[in-house]
Amino acid sequence: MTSKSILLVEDNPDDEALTLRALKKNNIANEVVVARDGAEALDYLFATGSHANRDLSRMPGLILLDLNLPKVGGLEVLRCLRGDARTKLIPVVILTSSKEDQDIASGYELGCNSYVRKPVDFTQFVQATGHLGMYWLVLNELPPRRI
Amino acid sequence: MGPAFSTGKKVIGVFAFGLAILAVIGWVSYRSTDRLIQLGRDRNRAHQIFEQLQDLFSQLQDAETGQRGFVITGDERYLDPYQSALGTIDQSLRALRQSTSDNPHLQQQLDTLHPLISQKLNQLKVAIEARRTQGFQAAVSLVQTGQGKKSMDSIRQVMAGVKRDQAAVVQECTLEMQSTAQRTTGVIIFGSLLSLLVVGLATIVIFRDLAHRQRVEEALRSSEQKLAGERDLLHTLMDNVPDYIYFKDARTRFTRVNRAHARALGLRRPEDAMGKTDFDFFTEEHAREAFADEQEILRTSQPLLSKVEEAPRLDGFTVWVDTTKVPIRDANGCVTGLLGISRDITRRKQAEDAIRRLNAELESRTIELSATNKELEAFSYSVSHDLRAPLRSIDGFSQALLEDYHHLLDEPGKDFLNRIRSSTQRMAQLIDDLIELSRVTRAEVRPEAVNLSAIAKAMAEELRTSEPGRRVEFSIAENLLAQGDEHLLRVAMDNLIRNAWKFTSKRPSARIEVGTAGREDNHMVYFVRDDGAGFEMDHAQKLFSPFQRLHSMAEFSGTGVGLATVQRIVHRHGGRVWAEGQVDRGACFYFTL
Repeated sequence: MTSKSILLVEDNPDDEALTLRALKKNNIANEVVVARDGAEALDYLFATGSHANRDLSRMPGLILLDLNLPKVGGLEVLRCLRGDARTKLIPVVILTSSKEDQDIASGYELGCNSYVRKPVDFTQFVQATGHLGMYWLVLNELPPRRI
Repeated sequence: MGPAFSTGKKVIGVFAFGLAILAVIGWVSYRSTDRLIQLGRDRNRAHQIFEQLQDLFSQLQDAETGQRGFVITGDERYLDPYQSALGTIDQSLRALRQSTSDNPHLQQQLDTLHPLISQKLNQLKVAIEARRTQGFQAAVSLVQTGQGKKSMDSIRQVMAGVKRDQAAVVQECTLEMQSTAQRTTGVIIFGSLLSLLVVGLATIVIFRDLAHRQRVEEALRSSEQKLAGERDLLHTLMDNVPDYIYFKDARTRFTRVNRAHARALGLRRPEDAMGKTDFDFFTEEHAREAFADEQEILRTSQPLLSKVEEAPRLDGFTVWVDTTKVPIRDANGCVTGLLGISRDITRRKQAEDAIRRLNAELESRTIELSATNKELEAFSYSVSHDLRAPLRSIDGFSQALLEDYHHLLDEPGKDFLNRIRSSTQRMAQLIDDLIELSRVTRAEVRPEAVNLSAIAKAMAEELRTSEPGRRVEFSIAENLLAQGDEHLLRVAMDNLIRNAWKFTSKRPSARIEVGTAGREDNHMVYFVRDDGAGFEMDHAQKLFSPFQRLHSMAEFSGTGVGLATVQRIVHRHGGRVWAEGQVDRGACFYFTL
């Protein structure tokens, strides 16, 4: 479980802090990498730009993706990583404020694995984060890695 | 069938033919009469000659008788007949000569006869002389020679020939007279019959012509009556039709206008338009255009069809007309003027203008509306996304304070933080409800058959499960079918049933009923009824406005958006929603779709 890192794509520092707190509350100790916009997320995933020196053999075991992002939007990030053999099998959970039908539909069409709306109630948010971590990092079996 | 010739010509022809027949009859009669007269004359002459010869012969016999008597008796008195005969014979011969002077054959015969008579008379004279001088015996011997008898026989023979000839002439004349008379009679009878026939035929023809003429005259009269009827009809039409009808001559002057046009031109009587032109009634610009149009029609004989034009009058009033002008031709096909029909379409034009204006307005409003809609969409997106984020922070960090710094906070401090948290949650709920309301407003309505009973039952099950401790009896009618958008109707039913569930929450036991209540304007009326807190009917209208609440938050939670959402959904289906209630006796929400 500790071997899998989590990529959190989130531009709002408050949300970042709360998400990290929620993970901690659920005793999820996996490494969390934070990308503060879509471009940075892609740089990290494909070891480009500021993340050029990253070891590409280590890919995150789960991506928590916000949709409303500066520079490159969340859906665009999803499209890119689903279009690349190195990243197309990584579980992606869209974690966002939006409950728009259009966003949900687009998210699933582009191949997200879950779509979770961030609850305002922090207690609920902690619960939701716990469920996600438990499910995607522990219960769910991933396909064999082919890189 | 029209006669090839006029009756007059026929009459003249028939009379000429009749006259010709009469002339022929007259000529033939004249010729025949002439011939008859000639023949009669010929016959009389022959007869006369015959008589004269007879006389001559009897005179000769008288002379011979006298001679014989004297010879026998020697008495001179017996010579009297002889003496008188001598004179008359000569006379008779001369007369004969005279009356046959034109007949050479008779003259020839007379030439033969004359010496014979002379010879006979000489013999008689010789015998008389012999008696006188030589006595009876000498005379008898002379007689006995038979010469006297011989010459008498010769004379008789010649005379008989002449007489025979004359008898033949008489006979011939008689026969010819008979045949001529018969022929003439025939001609007269035939001619008369022919005349009668011609006159008869002519009479028939003339009568037939007269009958035909009478028929023609009658037909003419009746067609004149018909024409008069049609003229009246035309007048009625022209005088009563609201369109402007006018006739113009080759110089585009009015020759006739109907009443409607006279009124439109500001004239008291249609006759007042005679000889005037468009320049007398309309602005020069319009009159010039109309004049050009009309000259074109007169020149090319091509009609002008349905031209919509504005016709500003000299009095400042303007009408719109739909005008058709056609050339009028005389019997030879020459264009002599034109007929115009103009319909006043001012009202239609105004209506069209109004519609155009309204359409333009509508279009700009639609553009505005769709822009507003887009804004609204963007707004609600950002509301759902961006307004929630700070709320999450407020709630999250309040919770963090309570967890991490609870030892530094006294009870009121903790209470404040809890109030902050509940407010943020309430605000989040408000935002969600507002978003739902806007979504309901914007969503496309896709009508299909929806089973409201099934939706209600599922809801009831869900609510019972969520609060198993409550004792609520659900009475849901079977097969409540409706035509509408399933998602929206689900949202509406959800709001109504949750409302009922909420407002019955203070009761130890409750009853929630879903069913139909007859029809309104042929639309099924559905209802959701509860026996909960109810409301005052005075406030029934407020129920459906957003954020309007009839109960305090302490009594019943809620944002006041649910029923507004229901109303939106019902309205979007073209239906109506209303409520009945009584405080503490329950509420009933009706709706149609």
